[in-house]
Amino acid sequence: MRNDPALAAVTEIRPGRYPELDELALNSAVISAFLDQWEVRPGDIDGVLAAPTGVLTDGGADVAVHEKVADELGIRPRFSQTMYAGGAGYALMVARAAEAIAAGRADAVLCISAGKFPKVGAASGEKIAKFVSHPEFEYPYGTYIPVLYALFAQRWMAETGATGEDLAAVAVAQRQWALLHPDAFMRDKGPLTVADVLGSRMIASPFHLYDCSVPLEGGAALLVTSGERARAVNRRPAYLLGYGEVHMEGAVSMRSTFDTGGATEAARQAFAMSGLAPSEIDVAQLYDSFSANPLMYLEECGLAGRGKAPELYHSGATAPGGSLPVNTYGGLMSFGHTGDASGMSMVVEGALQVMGRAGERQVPGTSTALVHTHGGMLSEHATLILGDRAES
Amino acid sequence: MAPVKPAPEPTALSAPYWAAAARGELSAPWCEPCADWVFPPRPRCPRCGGSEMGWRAPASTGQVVTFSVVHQAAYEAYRDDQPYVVAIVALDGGPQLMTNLVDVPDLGAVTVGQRVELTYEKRGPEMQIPQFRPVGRS
Ligand SMILES: [Zn+2]
Repeated sequence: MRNDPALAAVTEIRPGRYPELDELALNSAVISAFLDQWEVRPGDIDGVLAAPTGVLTDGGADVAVHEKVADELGIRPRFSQTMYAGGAGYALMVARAAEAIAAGRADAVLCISAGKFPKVGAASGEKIAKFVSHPEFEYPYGTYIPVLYALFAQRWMAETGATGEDLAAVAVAQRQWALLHPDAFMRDKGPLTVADVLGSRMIASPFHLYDCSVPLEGGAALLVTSGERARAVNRRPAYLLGYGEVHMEGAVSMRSTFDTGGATEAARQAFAMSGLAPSEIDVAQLYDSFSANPLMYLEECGLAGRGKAPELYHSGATAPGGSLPVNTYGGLMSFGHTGDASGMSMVVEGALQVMGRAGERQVPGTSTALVHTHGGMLSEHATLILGDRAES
Repeated sequence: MAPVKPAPEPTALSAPYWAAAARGELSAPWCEPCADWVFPPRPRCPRCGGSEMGWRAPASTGQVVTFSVVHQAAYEAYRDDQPYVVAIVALDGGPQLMTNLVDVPDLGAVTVGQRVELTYEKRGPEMQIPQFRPVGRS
């Protein structure tokens, strides 16, 4: 791309519970943490991409968050909007920012989000169920998020012969990574075994409790700049080598197939743009609302053959020390799932690994990362390929 | 009083579907020029863009495309039903829809590809929603 767009700087606050902060206040906390961590002044930023607040929580959605972020920074951006595609929205922000930078429409775009889950009670279960389901043709059948994801996992398992042990192996490997991350929420819980996962209570088959992500609060910011600007901030930025996106049916019951999550086309576009082959990917960060997702995405992104992803987990390839590390921050299942901001976490980690800033969990010699994110009920898909060198 | 499971709220587009369901019939929009279903109901056929929908009766049998046995109910209204089955069923000759599988003798024996047939469940004083059960469980 022209101007070599790159992730120059990334910051994520610790996932946790912040009862005293609403999402706008959490956005402020993210901005403060970002400015504390990086040598970036507000005046350096000329673009803002923000996510709406209040989508899942009470009080109604605020869809002008970009204005509040710009006002807080005291800047007058030339590229700015609030955009939403659920968990895929942040990889899409990176893609949109890169396009603006390549077109000379912006030099430094701050992408930001903070997320919470609604409080239990007060009909929140009904509200979320209705939000994620077709109101007439799905909602009356007792749907909610785990069930809708389970429909994909069950079909993929029926087609490939994958088992509950295979799903559990994902949770186990991700916990190993989380033990190396100081901010991972489940770090204090210690290691997890396949027996622990299979022994946890069944939520919606095939998902046991420990096959599910951990609902928390948090947020993150990404600064996307030209390569030149990035190198002034960060000796080793993460260049955007390729991206792709596809938007599947919003209502799960309208899907024509259930044996894939929908990543294939987005990943194909990203690889074609990058000029890289799947064998050249060093680490993968794959959105894991539930344990089945990374397995399906390894196959859909071409990092494993059809039905072969479980072997990568059983052989230790995806775990610390393995040949294809996956979700090196613990994933949403062990790092934490920060509400609507969750799609930030795997972008942050992909960038940190390429930057060589992942601390104890750094995978030595990482020069490329694939990040795949989804939003909605596996409806929105966005893939990024990051690298330590700008394309030639 | 325990919360009740939600009844569908018909729109102008879907009213014929729910009126048929209340009579114990299945009826879905059909685009004549394309000779195919338009389900769930939409203002326009996604293939030809046409707005003229005929209504037809799909088959009342089909097979399970995928399913989940729900052990932790979505919310209070479904607590008495758990464990319950949510499934996608492809009707013979189409279309595909979401349903619960009811009258299932062994939840561990539900499979992808299983044959199912239509039944109904009352919702509210006047409505019914289509449901499916394993064939031969009448
Ligand atoms: Zn048509």
